[in-house]
Amino acid sequence: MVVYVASFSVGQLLVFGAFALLVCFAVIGGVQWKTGVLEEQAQPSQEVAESRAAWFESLELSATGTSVSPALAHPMNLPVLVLKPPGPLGQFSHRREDLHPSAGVVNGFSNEALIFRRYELESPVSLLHGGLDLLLVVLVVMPLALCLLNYNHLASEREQGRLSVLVIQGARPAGILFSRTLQCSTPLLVILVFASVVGTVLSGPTDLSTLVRFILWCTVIFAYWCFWVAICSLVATKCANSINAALASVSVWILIVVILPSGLQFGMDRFTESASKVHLLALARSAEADALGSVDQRAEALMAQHSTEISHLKIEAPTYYRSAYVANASINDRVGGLLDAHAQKVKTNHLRLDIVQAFSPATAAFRALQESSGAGYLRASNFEHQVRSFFRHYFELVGVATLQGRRLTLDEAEEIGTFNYRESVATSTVLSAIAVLLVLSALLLFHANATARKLEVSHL
Amino acid sequence: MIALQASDVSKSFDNVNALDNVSLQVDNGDVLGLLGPNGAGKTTLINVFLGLVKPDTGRVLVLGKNPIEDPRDVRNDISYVPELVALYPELTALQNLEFFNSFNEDPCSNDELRQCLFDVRLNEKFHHNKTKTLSKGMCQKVGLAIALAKNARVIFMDEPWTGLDPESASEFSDQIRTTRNRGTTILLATHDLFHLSGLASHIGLLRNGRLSNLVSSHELDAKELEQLYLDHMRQSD
Amino acid sequence: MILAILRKELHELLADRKFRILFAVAFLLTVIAAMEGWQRLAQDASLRSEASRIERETWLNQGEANPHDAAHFGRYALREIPALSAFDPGILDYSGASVWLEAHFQNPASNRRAENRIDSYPLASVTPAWLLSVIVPLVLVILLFGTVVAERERGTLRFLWVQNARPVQLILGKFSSALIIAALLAALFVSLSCMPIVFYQDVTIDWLSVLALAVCYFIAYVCICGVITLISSVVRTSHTAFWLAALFWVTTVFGPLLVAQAAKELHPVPRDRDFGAAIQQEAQAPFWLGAAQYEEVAIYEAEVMTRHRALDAKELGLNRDALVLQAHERFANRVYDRLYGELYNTHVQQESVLRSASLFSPIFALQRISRGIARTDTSAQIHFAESAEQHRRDIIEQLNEDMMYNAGEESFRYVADRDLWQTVDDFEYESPPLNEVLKRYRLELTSLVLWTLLSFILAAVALQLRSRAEVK
Repeated sequence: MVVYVASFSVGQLLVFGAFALLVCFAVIGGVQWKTGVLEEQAQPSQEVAESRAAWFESLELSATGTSVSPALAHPMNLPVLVLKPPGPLGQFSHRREDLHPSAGVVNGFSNEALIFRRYELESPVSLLHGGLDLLLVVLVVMPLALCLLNYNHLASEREQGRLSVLVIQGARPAGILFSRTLQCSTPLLVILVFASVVGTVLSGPTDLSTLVRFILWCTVIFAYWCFWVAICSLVATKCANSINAALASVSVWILIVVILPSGLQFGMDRFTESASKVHLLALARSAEADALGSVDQRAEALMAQHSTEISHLKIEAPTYYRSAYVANASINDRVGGLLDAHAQKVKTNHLRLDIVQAFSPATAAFRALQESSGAGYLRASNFEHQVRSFFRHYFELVGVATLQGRRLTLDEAEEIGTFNYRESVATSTVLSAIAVLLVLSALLLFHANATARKLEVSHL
Repeated sequence: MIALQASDVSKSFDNVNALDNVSLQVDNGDVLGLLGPNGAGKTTLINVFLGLVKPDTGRVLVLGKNPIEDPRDVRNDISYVPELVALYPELTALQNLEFFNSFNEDPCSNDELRQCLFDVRLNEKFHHNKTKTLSKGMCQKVGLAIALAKNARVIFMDEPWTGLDPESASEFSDQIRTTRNRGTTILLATHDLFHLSGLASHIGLLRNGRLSNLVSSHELDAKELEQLYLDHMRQSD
Repeated sequence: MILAILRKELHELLADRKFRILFAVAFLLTVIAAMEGWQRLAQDASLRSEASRIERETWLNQGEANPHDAAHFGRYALREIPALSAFDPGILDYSGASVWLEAHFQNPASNRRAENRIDSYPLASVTPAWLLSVIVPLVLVILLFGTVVAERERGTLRFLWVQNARPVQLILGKFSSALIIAALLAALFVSLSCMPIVFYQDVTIDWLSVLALAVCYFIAYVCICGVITLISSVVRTSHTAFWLAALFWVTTVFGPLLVAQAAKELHPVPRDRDFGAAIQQEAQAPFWLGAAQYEEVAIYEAEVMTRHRALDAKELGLNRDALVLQAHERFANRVYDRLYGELYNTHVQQESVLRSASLFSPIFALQRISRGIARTDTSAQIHFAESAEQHRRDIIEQLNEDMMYNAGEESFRYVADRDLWQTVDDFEYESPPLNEVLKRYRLELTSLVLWTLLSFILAAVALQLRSRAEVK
């Protein structure tokens, strides 16, 4: 058997080294980020837990008939912490995770428009640039490195006239190409998988669902790697000289990694209008004003909806609580529908993207990697949706008690419970992306093989 | 008057002697043909005269000036037609000529440039063709036109017939002859005995960087020249 | 001679099929991006103007209320959408679009547009500025990487030396052609990108800023041409030149990601919780629960007395509750000045790290200047937040003073009506003038000019040395 492969050149070793360094940087940054977020989330958890314990203590006291100040254990004051923990493999895709709200405290004074209003302390420019995460390395740097390592396998032979000699000696261009491509590309895949294992282990204990995500994550990386190996092979067979091969490689990289995803994003932005925060703010503001202007009428209307409870009405609700509740109920009425529609739109768009992502392999890989690691807008939207559902249930129970001017019963308070984010993976997104990438890889490899065969004939 | 002079010129690259004590002299209006196999040192000698290679020992003079010490002055009076005339592929023949002519001290007018192309017998229909579409022979003609337009007193030509078909080679020889007849000194490096014999006033035989014979071509006919060349090569072996 | 080289360079470029294809692609993308920018500007501006209208009506129609209740009801300061954000949205999507102005508290800006973006691919933002600062330089890389080295490989360079061409002439010729290409690209693409904004009536365009943008892009393109020419002059093969030029592009485009991360690590912003706690502990608790109130109220009261040349607050009939409220505002404002000053300072320090990165990357320097001129940079955001805060202080002081002078014994039972609400100004924001922006970005501008000069000088020197070195 002809041995086509040779030892690595200094240039190739430099590329591997630089790649490994970047991967290392990205993984360490990711693990640090995750640890930091978990620490940060643990502190308010403790504070809210203490505050909840005091609230329940007062409620229990009042239930036993002990005199408790009206301000204590008031339904409107029951705090519930809502947290979106970092994704199970969030350390690999944390780049812009700070953008989306991940923590908030729900109480009777919250409304749907402003549940997540928070201090924005991050510098906008750091959000704009984002950080370097493993996802970005896989998505952008790996293809570039593959292009750099593989573009010249056949072009240099053709340029220097060696291919004809090799073909006459019985070598097959396809054999030369694929053996060299695999030789140069496999180390990158090994580095990425190894880094993923290390990043997962460093981030703490792993459960079964994280393991499944890890397998998905690695599979997507493999599929995307295959796709780029195929692209590089095809480019290598098409170009007769090194400089054209280099130009073609960079052009293809730009096209696939930058232009196509940008075009797709552009199209999605054009055809799917997202809910504007400023618009929501304006709606909430006018609702608040309307509500404040007609607290009594709206309170009556609300009480009418709860006629059963009204029969048990003992004391009039204090104005302060009532007006706050009524104003927020009014805001919820105005913005809730809009937010629901927006959440629905997000889901629809996500499904649409599952289909059109076939036109942009990098987008497919991006979404699949984001989904498998547990990051991104869909997860943030799911979180907000879950929080809103929880909040509606909470607000309903608290509202009735507030309007009736009574405390919640222990059963009702237990029924409200606590908020726990339910993780989910859009498996269809991940699997469809893997399928798209593998099918494209197969087609491209087939084409590259056919072109290499033609080269064999033309050089004989 | 002496146009070209080399005195004991030696040059080695990586311990390989490219030129070994070469001495020669070419008078104004003469054509010196340098004959020798590949690697004999012909191109190196031309490069020394062009000021592109600095000799390790000895000195060269072009029209009385040293091309290493005073390259700008020398280059005002010389021209060069390399083996592969380097032209800008996206420019037409005339545009290439205009461009290279712009570096001359006294640039020619457009009409004169066109005339140069006619002089080298480049068919008018090719004047406005991009040079990437021209054959090697045509490019050689454009190269010669560039040299003519410069009105250089000395022209160096490196393997001018290599790669040309017989008809083009013959035409090219005619043009060199015309140029010679204008009184231009020419140094030709080649291994083409056939074309050189009718052109050169003197012929030098180079082998392994040594100039062994420098004979007047009037003393020899083509056959004798061939015999001399072969004998010389055998001796060297 | 230089003119001949210039003509030859331009001729070669125009004849190059690569140039025509790349130019067409860049042109098409810019047209699309310009339309997108315009649409986005129109949408944002109309949403903002609608929200402003609602905000104003809500404020005016709040009915009768105590001025302090009104101060709690508050107002919103909505950020103006800069006209040139259609060209370069910069950080606009990642910074808060509104600030809630309420009594006792300075609030940071909130409501970022990016939070509601369906999904954002890391490199996808088809804006004119992105195309002009990322894609056009790449086009230049592809077109010019062989500008000198290809001449060497073809043999024309040697031929030129024999024709008595000088390296400086060659570089000047290439430089002149770079100037023309850069001028054409900058003028064409910047005007093309800004064209649609002209048709949008609701915003006013500062043409001087557009001109400044065009000039900056021009300088940057010349600079990029210079760097590529330098690379092309130094290396031996087109191959190496291409990869080095591409590496230069990749580094300058993606380098900022690493620098931004480093900036975040070097100058971390305080955590939400810590910042909130600091406000509570330093601006609220010492005054309402601690001992600071007595002294602060006494100072303020003395000032009011001096202002009115009175001896006693009772003589003026001032409402003491309002006096205390305003004294707290003064107390808290000093704390906010410090706390927010430190926060903004952290942002500015992060900016400094990024600024120093622009010394190493002309493309990054260009992006920063472009954002600055479009008023979509961090400084503009801080300027907006500070203007909004000043407005808050003015409003709250106005409301507190109304209560102080008119409430008398009624104190919190005193109510004001629409007449008072109408006297409260709407928030109007004026972005910083161009000369201030340019002054702020002088380091980046200097970096661009230095890169340009250095690259061309070094290219000329490299070529000179190489022409000498070729004399073996």
